[in-house]
Amino acid sequence: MPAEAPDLARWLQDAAVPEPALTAAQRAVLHAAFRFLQRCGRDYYSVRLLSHFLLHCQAGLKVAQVARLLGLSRSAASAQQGLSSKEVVQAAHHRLAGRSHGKLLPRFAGPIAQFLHHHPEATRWDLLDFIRCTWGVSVSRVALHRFLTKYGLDRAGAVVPLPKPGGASPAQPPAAPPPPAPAAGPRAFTAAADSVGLPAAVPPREDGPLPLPAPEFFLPRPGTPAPSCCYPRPSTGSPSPRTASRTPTAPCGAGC
Amino acid sequence: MRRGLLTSAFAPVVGLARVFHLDQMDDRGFALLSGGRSCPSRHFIGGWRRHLRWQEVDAFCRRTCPWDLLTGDDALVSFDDHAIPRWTRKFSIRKGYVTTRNKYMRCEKLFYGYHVGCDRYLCVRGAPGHVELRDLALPLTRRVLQYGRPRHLHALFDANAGKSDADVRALLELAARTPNLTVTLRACRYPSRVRAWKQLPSGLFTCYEEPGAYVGAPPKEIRLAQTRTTLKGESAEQAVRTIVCRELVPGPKKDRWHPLYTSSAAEPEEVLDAFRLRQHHEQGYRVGVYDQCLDGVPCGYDKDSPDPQRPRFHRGPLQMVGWLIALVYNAVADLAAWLPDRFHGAHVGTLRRALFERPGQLYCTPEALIVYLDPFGGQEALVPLIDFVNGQQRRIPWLENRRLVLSLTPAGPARQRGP
Repeated sequence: MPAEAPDLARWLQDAAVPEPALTAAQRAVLHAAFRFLQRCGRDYYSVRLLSHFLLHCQAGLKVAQVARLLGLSRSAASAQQGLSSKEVVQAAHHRLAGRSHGKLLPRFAGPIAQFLHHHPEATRWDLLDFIRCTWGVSVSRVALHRFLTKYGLDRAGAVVPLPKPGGASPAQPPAAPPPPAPAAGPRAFTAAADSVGLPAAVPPREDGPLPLPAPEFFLPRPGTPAPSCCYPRPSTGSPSPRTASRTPTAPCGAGC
Repeated sequence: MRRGLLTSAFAPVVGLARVFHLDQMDDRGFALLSGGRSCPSRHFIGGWRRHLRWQEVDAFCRRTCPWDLLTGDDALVSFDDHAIPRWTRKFSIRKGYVTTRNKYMRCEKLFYGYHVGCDRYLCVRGAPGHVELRDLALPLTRRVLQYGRPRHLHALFDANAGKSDADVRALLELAARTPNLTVTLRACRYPSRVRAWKQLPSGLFTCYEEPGAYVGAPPKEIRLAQTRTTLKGESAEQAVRTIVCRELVPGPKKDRWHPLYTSSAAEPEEVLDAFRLRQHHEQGYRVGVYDQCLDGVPCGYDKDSPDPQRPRFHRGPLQMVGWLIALVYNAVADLAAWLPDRFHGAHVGTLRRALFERPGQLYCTPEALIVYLDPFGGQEALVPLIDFVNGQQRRIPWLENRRLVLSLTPAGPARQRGP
């Protein structure tokens, strides 16, 4: 039982939350939160779970009030606002793993680039999990941020796989959102547009007509600098002596 | 210039045999290696090669020779030529003897100096087909002495360097004038000389046994003797020390005689052992021909010559590409020294098959070009090398100075730690 919060009124008073101004729903939520703290204590994980609940339960509590109630800084509470429950659990796992150990080596950049390309929506926590599962290395978020910045992997859509020979584009994520604009960065490589897109393999209906391939499938139209009518009529030339009909040698008159 | 040089340098690495093979080359990795984002045109590269001036090529060769291998050290250097046959009928170029075809035909030659102790090429000189080793033996030896500055140089030559007694005398005189130079060359087996060597008393010969040609084969027997050979027009006091090696061949075949002229005062067996290392040089030529397409170097005769019967000779293209191939040979040998023991001394083709030609994926970010290799057997052997290369933080100037990062596919998921 924490000694610094003997009862609900004192807890609210210490946090400068006026009790008369609370609605019935807010009072009920805070009452439950107070009991939760009394029951589970004020360790990191309890406070983290409770703050996530209070920030996302739509009870109308302000971020500053939640921060004061739980003893957090205003900025820390604000940073937790947009997180999903999965990310909160991942953060808790990361803290549970203890101190960071291991080092992010440059040769890890390839698998990380592939991971980011295949999972463009992945969060930093997902990436930390991937690193820990792949190499058994637990690194801090700061170290990961520096690593990603160093190798240009920090910007979404900045990882561009160069197409392989023959125009075969690399494997795309199965349910990935539409690819970002190729010129995401100031020096982004715009080679992703090299590959020719074929229509998706949709099974055609038996009685319906076959779908036409995309226009890129066909060869470009031959370009002519001017309409063909502007050119002189092509000459077929004179027939070769062998194929030319022989001049009739019939006598034109009696004197010939 | 950059694209021409990079393409010519990386072509022997990836096994691009001829410049017109660039027409079919469609590899993004090679495009990046060659300094662009698409593979270069054969016309561009061929034009760059054809217009190389010999003065600039000589300067390039001079500045890239690995003289540090022998500076202040005892060096065993072999000098030999490699004949590149030419089949042109339009241009009447000079003929020379092509050993591998055993015929006198149109050809061009590359003369190399080769450090047989380190297995590295040292210097090069391109020449028309009629130029022989005896014409360039002295200049090449002087160049190695001048630029390499070894503590002691033991120069090895094939019989081509001593076709005439005057050539032998010139080499031996150079050795006599230079205190830190020893010369050993195989003597030409002219019938009169062979007859004289065969008449040496048997008591002069010392028998040695060597391992046979294969495991379990009977040992080979060789007999060594040292004598002195009087060259043409010289007195008996000027006779040259000669090591006569007789290799006994069982059966009806004749014995093989290998006479060596030498200025060395070492024991005959030591001289023979040193001369036998010259085989590494010949092996280097085989690696060059079969793994690096050495015979595909651009021709030296000028195809724009007004008179095809007397074409001009341009040393630049021939010598430049020949030297780039030698530099690639040296670089691959340096790379093999980084790898595990099983790769030490591996040929270019072996390393290309095992390490270079690997599928993978290139990821281009605003800051780096990440080369991500697909998994392959034995890739763990590359980890120290890749860490070293990544640690050097190399950048690619022609790709907006992006950092080059090499990556391997992780072997498997590591065991998750913690609860």
